[in-house]
Amino acid sequence: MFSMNNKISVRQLQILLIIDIFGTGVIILPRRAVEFAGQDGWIIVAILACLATGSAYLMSSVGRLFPSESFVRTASKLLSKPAGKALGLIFAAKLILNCALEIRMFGEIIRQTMLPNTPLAVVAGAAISISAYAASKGYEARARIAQIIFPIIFIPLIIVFILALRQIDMTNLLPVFVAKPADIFRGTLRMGSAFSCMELILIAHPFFANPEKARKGASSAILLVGALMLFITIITIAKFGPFDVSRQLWPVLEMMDMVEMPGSFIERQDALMLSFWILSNFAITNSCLFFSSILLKDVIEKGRHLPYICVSALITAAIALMITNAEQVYPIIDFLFLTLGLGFMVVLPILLLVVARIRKKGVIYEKQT
Amino acid sequence: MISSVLDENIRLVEEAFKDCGDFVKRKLPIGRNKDIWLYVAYMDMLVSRDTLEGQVLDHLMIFLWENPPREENLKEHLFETLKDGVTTADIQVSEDMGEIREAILSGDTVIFVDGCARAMLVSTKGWPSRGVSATDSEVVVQGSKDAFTESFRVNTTLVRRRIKDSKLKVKQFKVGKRTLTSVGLMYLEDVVRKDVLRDAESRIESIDIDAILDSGYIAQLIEDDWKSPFPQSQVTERPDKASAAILEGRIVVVVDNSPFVLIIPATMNTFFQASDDYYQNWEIMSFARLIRFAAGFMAASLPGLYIAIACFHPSMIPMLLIFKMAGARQAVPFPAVAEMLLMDLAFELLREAGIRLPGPIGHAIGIVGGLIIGQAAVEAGLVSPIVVIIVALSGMSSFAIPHVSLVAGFRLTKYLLLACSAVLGLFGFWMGALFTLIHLATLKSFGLPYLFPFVSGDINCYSDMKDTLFRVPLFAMKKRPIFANPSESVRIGPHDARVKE
Repeated sequence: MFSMNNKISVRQLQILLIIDIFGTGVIILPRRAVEFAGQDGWIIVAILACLATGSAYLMSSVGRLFPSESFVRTASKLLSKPAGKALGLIFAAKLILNCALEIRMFGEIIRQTMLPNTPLAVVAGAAISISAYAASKGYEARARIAQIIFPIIFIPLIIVFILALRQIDMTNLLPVFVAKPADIFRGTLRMGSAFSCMELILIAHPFFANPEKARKGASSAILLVGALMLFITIITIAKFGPFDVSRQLWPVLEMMDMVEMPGSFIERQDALMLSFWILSNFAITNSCLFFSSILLKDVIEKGRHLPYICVSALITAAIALMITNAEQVYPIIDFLFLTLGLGFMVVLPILLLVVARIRKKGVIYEKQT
Repeated sequence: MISSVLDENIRLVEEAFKDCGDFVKRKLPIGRNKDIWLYVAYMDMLVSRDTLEGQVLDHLMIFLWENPPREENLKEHLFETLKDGVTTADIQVSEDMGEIREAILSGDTVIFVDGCARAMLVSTKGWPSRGVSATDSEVVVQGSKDAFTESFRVNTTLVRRRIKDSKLKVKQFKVGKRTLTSVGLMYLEDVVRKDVLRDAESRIESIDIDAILDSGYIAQLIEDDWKSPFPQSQVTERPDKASAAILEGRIVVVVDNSPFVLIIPATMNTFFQASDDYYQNWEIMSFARLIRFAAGFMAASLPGLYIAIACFHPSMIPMLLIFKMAGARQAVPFPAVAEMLLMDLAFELLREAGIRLPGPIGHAIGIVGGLIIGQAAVEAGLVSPIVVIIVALSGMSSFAIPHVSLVAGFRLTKYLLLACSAVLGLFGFWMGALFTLIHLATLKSFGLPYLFPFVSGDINCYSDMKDTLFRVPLFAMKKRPIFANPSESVRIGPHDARVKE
């Protein structure tokens, strides 16, 4: 009747992608950018945004080859069945690890800012349970949830950042282009993790109601996220200057706290803003749990995805609690991105597209006139 | 099957209605020679005596006196001749004893004729009923004042008076094995979505229950998710609202003996719409709509938010206010959560007591409970004034929502959010809110997402957003909402506009 039977529209895909990627990583993005390139840190974010858009284009091109097939089946058709299953298993493991790291980092932020006396297990347990519950409801329901939380996350954020514009000093960004190209390159490589979870595009294709429009939709969504990250990085550097940004743990939160809302009743905005980040984190973790369960189901080829969500959630909780020191999270995220992240976002899509071209497989789309 | 022997039929009927004191029957001879035997049966007070005597019995006797059937073909033509003698148009013939019993119980008069294996079912319905009175629970500033009654036919008439279109259909069902309650689906044949109609029909047909005493039974038996505290069909006692819903392509379920009709499908947005939203200027009604949505949020979340901020994140509150709050709470012996729960449950008690008691006493309870007990509790130091304000605000907000059934959902959500906030502060509040949101996002009413058009609005090109947080001017609402058949989506404009679209 009215619902699309677990299929999502292009608009819903864009919203899901935006809130999946725009997560807690943004809180530290300006600091990391400044660490690599000083006041030119924004250049790294700009380059990353362009590269990420290109990668989104590549990944959705792979999805277009077999629009109704799952990632595991697409890879099996193009490479071989064992290779497809192995890739599915590695992908699921990467998503579970990503989810665990995200939960660990998020738990730390919550404990430091909101609930200092609450054990991490309680915060992580609550976050994983609610994400698993959402994941169990299917992709279309997740898209609907995303449509509701999208304005709740972004409208206050945009208001706060616009207000922050009044108190910034653009001379903090000067002089420009002083960073060494090597530092920019190193920063680009190491900070790509800000766009991690983007590889979900590879798995999401069977859920699109209009697969032929998904490529344009996904690319534009990633470009928009990149532009937002660039905007936040620029105003954070302009607000504090590169030196202060590099010394702050979460400069974006600091900035929110310093923004004076005209006629505001609320004394501290950061706690309020963090609550919006709770929603954003929820979006990422439930994505990871949902897609890892889908991948596990496709690899094992048995049953529905619900039991696999429980498996993914339990492993996620175990890993998140195993990491004793939150500072360990960032090196693992970097490592994960530099190995599996780049593999799934760049190398694998190119490989699959080349194989498809050579073996003449996949759907051929007529050019729209 | 009934017999051609009159006494056998009498035995069957009287056996069925044995010990029914209100069952009226009479065997009587008619015709010039008093040689034709009839048996008339009906239920006392379910029939209109005027119709029965004036248009059925009198006419039968006079007609047969003046037009006696000829002897040679008496047997063959007696029944048809008698039928011609009844002057009411609503007459049926039945050979089925079950159908005959049902007709008697529905207020029809049954006439058996000696020698005929058929019976006449003459519609003489006319039981005592309350007249059309003013609306009680959905009062509007501007708009019609009439309300549905307990009479099925009066209710369908109130809608038909407003929609003079032969495409307005009333599909009737009998539901309830013992009550045989009339349930009618009212819809515009060309505007309704066929798949929704089929779904509604099949859900009603599949009800297997002994009794239907109110439309609330039907609402619970046909809803998509029985676990949800949120209503999945709209209830109204206003004929204008029901008519507007039918014109939108929705289906109205009329149930005999219930002054409330159901409207299906229903989305959360429809519960914030009131009839007079469309009778007055769009600017003020848009403002009212916004207030209602804010009220919905406050009804569910205010106590939880207060506990989260006051107990876990007091740094968010301005210094002056926090000193005032701390000062007010100094003498209170309970933790803030217990204080809030105490006051909130007292408010719920008042609400419940106010509903059950007759009008004037109900008002008195409100004054005694709300003002005197609240004041006394504050003065005794049992609760702080800010908690009284929060509970009162939350309660008042729930009254600003036009549909009581949605308030029930918000009332329960309030306790979930309160419990989560009490354990984990703002983080817990968001966890509770997300749980509710996930539930609402997966909830459907007859296949339509419950949060439409806030989610999946693109199905109808976001046209339904024009009647959500704000209501645009009437002339701008050119298309019918998502409920309507897409081929009849245009409601304002010349016919060629439809063709263009």
